[in-house]
Amino acid sequence: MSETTSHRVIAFLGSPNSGKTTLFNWITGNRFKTVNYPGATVDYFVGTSHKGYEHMIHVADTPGTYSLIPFSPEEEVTYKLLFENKSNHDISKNIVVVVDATQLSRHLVLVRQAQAAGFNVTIALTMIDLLKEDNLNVDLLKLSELTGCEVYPIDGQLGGGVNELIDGLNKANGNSESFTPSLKNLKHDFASEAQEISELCLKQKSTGQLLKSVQNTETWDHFLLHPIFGLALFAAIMTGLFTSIFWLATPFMDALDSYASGLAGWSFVQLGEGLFADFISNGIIASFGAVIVFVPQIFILFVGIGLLEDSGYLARAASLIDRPLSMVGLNGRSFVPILSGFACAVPAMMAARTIGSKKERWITLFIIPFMTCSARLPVYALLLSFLFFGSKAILPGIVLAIIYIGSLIIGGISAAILNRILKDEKPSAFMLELPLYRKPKFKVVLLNALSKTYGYIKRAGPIIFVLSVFIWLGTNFPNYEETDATVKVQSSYLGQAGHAIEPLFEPMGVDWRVGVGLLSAFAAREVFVSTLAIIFNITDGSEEQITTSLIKNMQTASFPNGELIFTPVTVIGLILFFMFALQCISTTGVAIKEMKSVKFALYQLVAMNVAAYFITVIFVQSCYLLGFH
Amino acid sequence: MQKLKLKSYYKVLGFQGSDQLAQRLKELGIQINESLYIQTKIPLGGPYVVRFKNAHIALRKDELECLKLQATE
Repeated sequence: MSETTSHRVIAFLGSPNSGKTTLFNWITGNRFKTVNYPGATVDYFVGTSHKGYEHMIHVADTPGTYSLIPFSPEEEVTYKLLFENKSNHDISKNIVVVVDATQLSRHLVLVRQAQAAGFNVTIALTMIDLLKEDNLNVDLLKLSELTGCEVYPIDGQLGGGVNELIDGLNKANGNSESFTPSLKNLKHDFASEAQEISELCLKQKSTGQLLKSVQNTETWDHFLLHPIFGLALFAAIMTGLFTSIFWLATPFMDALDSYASGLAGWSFVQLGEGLFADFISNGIIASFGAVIVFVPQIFILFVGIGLLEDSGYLARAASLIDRPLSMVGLNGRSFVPILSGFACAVPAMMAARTIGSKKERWITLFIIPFMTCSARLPVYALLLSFLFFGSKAILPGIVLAIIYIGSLIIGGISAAILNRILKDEKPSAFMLELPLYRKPKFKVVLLNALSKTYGYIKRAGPIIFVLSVFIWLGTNFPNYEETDATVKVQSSYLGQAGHAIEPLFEPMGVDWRVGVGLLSAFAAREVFVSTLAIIFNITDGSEEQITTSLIKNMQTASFPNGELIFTPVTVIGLILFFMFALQCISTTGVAIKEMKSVKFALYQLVAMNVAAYFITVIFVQSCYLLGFH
Repeated sequence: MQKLKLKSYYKVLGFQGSDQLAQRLKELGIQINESLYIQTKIPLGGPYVVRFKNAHIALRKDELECLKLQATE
C-alpha cells in the first residue's frame, strides 16, 4: 500500500438508502471512528482505506442528506463539515456523491448542488444490479460527460469498483488545494437539469422489472400498512423488539455484572483491603461495571433497530405511529426512542437523533426518562412485595402492568404540556422516504451496532464514571474506618445530607433513611434497594434473602414516636415518586451529550424531581387527611 | 385541500404554502409536471404514501398540501 499523497479527508455524501455506508465500509474495511461534530448531536465517521487497497485515502461518511441546505440535525452535520469545517479534519475539495442508479434523476440534484458550491465531485454509482435486472443500463461515459464528474460503478454486494474509485480519488486528491466552498447558488432548482441528464443517460427500454419490485413493495405495504393487520403486526414487532432487549441481554448483563463484582472483590484483596483498594474496587471498578452492564442491552437494541431499518420496515413503523404522536407534539420518528426507554433511557436518547425538528426532539428526550426502565424494576419489585406480602403473585403483576401503562400516560401528558409551552422554530415535517423492502445486510447491521455501542461507552462512560465515584466518596467518608456499615452510612456525607434534609422527606411520610436511599438512587435507581439494605444492616445472603429480610425490617421500621414509616400510603407514594423522578446520572450525562446543553439536562432533572416530590407529597397528605395510612 | 383518491395518479402543477416544505419537496425530487401515484393512506389519520420516480415517500396532509395537484386518470 502506498502512502497517501494528501491528508485531506474526502467527504462521502448521499441521500438516505443510497448505499453510502455500505461503500464506506468496503473502503475502510470497517476501520473508522465516530466523530461528533462540535455543536451538533449526530455523528459522521472518519476512516482510512483498508490496507488491502493499493492507495491510502482518508474518507468521511456523513449522515444521509437530500440537500446541502440543512433541514435536520443530521443534515446540519454535513453542512457544517463542508462549509464551516470547525473539525480537526482538512476537508478536501474532492468529494464523492453516492448516487443510487435506480433514483438517478433524484440523486443527481445533490451532485449538481455540490458542484454549484465549488466541489470537485466524483460519482459513485450504486444499485446498478437492480437496474440491470430491469434491462436498463446507465451510459457511464455520457453521465461523466454531462455532469463533468468521474463516474465509478460500485457493486455493493461484492465490493467491485471500490479499488478503481480509491485509485481515482487518490490521484485527484494529490492535486487538491485548500478552498472555500460557496453558498451562493445552492437554492437554484437543479431538479429539471438532473431529470434531463438522467433521461439522456439511461440506455435501453425498461422491461418493467424495477416497477415490479416497486409494486411488490406496495403489495407488502397493503398488509403491513393495513388498518387492522398492519397495526397488529406493528404491535407484535415492537413487542418482540422490546422483550428481546430484556431476555436476550439478561445472561450477558448478569455475566458482566458478575465479572465486575468478581474483579472488584479480587482487586480489593490483591491491593491489601485498605482505602486505596476500596477506592479502586468499589469506586473505580464498580462504577466501570455500572457503565458496561448496560452494553448488551444497547447492542441488542441497535441490532434490532438496524435490522428493522435495513429491511425497510422502520420507516413504515414511524409512519404508522406519526399521527397519534403528532397529537401530543411528537413525531413518528419519536416512537423507537420512546419504546427503547422501557429498557434503558441511555440508548433511547441516542436513538432520538433522527428527529429533525428541535422541538419534537426536545420533547422526546424530555419524556424518555418517564418510561419504566429496567433499573426501576428492582425498586418496584421490593415495594410491590411489601404491599402484597403473602398475597397471590398475580396482584403485584397487575399493579406492575398499571405502572407500565401509567408511565406511557405520564409521558403523553408531559409531551402535550410541553407542546403547548414550547415554540416552533420551523414547521414540523415528516416527509419520510420509504425504501423498498429488502433482506437486511447482517454484517453491516452488526458493524454499525458495534460502532454505536462503542460510541455509548466513549461518550456516556466518563460522565457516569465521575459521578459514580462521587457517590462512592459520599457514602464512604468522612468515617471511612468505621466497621459498622450502618453507622458508616449514617455518618457519611450522604447520610449527613439525609439528616439535614429530613424535613424535606417528612411530608412524603418517610424518614432520613429513605431519604438517603433516594439520594443514593441518583447513581442508579436500583441502588435504592442496596442502600436500604445497608442502612437496615442486611448485607449477607442471596438477593432473595436480602429482599425478604428487608421487607420484614420495613414492616417494623418506625419514627421515634412509634408510628410506622412504611405503610401502604407511603409505599404507594414512593412508587409514584419513582414513576416521576429522574434519578439516573447516566441519563443526565447522556442528556447533556445529546442536546449539547447542560441547561436542558438541569431543567429536565429539576422539573421531573420537583414534580415527583410534589405529586408524592400531595398524594400522601391527601390520604392522611382522608384517614388512610 | 382537494379530496385525493387513493390508488390514483396526479400531476404536480406547482408548489404552494410553506417555502421550507416546498423547498424540501423539490430536493426530494418532486418537480412541476411530475406524475405522483397516491398509493395509500396510513391508518389512524397518518400520512399519505406517495410514489414518484419509483420512490415511495410518506407525506403528511399539510406536506401534500404544498403541492398543487391535478388528477390524471
